[in-house]
Amino acid sequence: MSVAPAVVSEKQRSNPVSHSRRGLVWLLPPLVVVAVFFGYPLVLVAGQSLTTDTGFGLGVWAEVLGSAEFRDAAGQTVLLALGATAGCVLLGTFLALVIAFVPFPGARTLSRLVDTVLAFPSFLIALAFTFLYGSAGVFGAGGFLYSPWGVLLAEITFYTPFVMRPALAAFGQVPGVHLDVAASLGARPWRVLGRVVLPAALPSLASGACLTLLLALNEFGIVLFLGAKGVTTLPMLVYGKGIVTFDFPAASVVALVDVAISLLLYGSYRVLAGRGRGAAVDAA
Amino acid sequence: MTPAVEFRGVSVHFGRTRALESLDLTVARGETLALLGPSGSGKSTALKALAGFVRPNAGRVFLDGEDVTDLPPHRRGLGVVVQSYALFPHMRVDANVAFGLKARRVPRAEVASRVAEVLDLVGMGAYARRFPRELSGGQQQRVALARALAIRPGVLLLDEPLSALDAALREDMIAELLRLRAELPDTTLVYVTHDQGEALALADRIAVMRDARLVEAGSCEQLYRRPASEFTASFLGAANLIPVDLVSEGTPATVRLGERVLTAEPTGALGPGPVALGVRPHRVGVGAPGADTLPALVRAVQWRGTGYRLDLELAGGATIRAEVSETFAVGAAVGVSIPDGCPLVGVGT
Amino acid sequence: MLLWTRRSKVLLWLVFGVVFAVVVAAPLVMIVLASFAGHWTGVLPGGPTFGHYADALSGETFASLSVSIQTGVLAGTAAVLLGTWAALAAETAPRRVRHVADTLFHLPIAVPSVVLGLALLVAFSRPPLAFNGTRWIVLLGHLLILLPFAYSTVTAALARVDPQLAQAAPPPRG
Repeated sequence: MSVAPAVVSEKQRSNPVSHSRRGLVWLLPPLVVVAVFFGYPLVLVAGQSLTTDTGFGLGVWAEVLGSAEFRDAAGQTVLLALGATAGCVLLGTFLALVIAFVPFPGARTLSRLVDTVLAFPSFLIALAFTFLYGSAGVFGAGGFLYSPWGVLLAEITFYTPFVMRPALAAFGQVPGVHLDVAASLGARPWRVLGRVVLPAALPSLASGACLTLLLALNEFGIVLFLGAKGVTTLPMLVYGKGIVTFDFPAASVVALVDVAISLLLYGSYRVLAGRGRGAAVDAA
Repeated sequence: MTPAVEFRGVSVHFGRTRALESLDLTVARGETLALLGPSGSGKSTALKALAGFVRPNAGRVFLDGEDVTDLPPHRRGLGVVVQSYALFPHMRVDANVAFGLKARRVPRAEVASRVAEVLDLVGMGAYARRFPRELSGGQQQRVALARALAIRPGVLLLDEPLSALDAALREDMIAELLRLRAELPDTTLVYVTHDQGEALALADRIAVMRDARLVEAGSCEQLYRRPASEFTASFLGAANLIPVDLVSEGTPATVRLGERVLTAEPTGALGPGPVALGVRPHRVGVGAPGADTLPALVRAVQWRGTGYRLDLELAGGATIRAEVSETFAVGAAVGVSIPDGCPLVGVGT
Repeated sequence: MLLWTRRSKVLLWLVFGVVFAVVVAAPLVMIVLASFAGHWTGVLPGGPTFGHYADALSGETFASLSVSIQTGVLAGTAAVLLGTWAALAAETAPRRVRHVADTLFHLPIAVPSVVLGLALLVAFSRPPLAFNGTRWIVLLGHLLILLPFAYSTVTAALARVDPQLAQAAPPPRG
């Protein structure tokens, strides 16, 4: 890595304008790759969504957006994502608080264990859940697993690390002496938590929550694997229409709506993360 | 009179590290006690045990005669100022200072007036709406002090509060602290520092600590002029410790240094081992070699602003430091004179 | 730091333990147990065996495993290379271009993986570029998903590098 910066700095010293242009030139190949293999397909999808039996038009859009199936899926997707995010925030913050401020021997190892969940494909959690709560499982509680609640719990289990890790990092930044002094001034633990710890960690928690919301919205593996009756999310709908029934135009419409919501959330996440401590993506 | 603060046999261990070993110490009401010692001496640990931040493994801590060892920090009613100030960064100065008052559920109107009063006391009244990050080190220091004083504590704990400040600012702050102390005569102060200048300037009594133990405690005057241990003599005033031969015991004792015989004052138990004479650098006389002086060679000369500091090597090999007003060439042969009546301490105490 | 009495700490640890066991530990433990289970008719698995592991490392399952590993390694390496290249180039580009590049290279995260799959299918099932059904489309999909992570990590690391290091480096010869 020492070659590129040295070359750059030499150029920097001699000619700042040509140095930027050089950066631009180097940037082209990756941009081209992304444009051709990512941008172009998405444009085609947009094109597909506008393809009706009579050529270009918004017919498919109207049909899909107006259908009850779509509205149900959209509603469920949003509710499920919000619920999962709320659960992750509560659980992740709680776990991080205990590990950071009331540590016990082995606390760090446990937090690594939570992180290992991230190493799995998301539906592996769903598999584990079938062993636990399925009809033949240890705690086979009837239909729990195959209801929205089962999906919710599985998503919370899987996505908690996305909140817990930035939370742990943020709590780690709060010097222990702040809590000590706050206590010496007469503050009980709840007050210290609410007035000293959480305000300092809020930006990181917010960006972590935003990222979790984005990922939960687009979750596909868990929902597919559990095959819960009556739980259809937007990604499932795309899959169903695109891969199962080969109705590409309809699938494209749903896909584009999904992308629009995601981009909106992603935009908010970038704004929030910018205010917090750097990229939570790289911490994820 | 019940002491404001009492440590009875307090010991603190962290795993295998002994941070504080069997501390017995009392502080009278309204007194300023300095816990003085190098890093690792246990002075900060003693303060934390007093505040309730660490739990002693043995011994009890008393505040105004009441056993508080099992009480959490928020029930002890102490004021604490730490080295890093620990101001809450997301709150303005007035909110920081009001924190303790709000935690004790002081009525809102009273909070505002007490905050204003204590900020004026430390001279930070104009900065009430600023954020800590907008303040300089010295200003943050004052706000931290105000925050601790706002709750009107009976005992104020200060953990190396001036270490992060530059020399000139430190001088100003010492004057400030003396002024504050005069305005709050009933407040007991426990002050942790490694700087003997601060200790001598501010404290009524000094407790010298080393290696997690209390070495000795006494008034400034007493510890400075008649240190009972070798460590106190060298730490407090950077005395030269010159090994001498004990000729006769008693008060005063007679010792021999090279060719000279001097009288000395034993200040504590000497023990059976070797003894040393504690001589402050400014009491060492340096001049031309003569019959009444000890021969020595000048090894180093340093200009100190108020005079010269000479490193001298005596005939027997011992090196001492002298502070004099005239200079000598490096390598010159000089005559050193040591006065009678210097403190005599046991080596290794 | 936060809790001072032994009792409150123990209480909290108990709650932590329960929550952790139910939500995090139980699924993980179950998977491990199941991997060793010969049969599972009752409440807990029975008949501990290494049989499943043996099966996994032979025959069709192993073929799938090796394809997974190959895909991971190839796509991962390509993503790291491309992402590092892009991050280094973006660092030296003019500010506005860098913002655009940042957004663009992070975009695949915002797009659901299903939609990405659909898009790739739609785009590459016909000429000029038709590699639907081959390994390349799979690799491409993985590369696109991994690219933002590589780019983001390198960018964050570059931001932490002391600029004086670059200036201290000797100028290139010739």
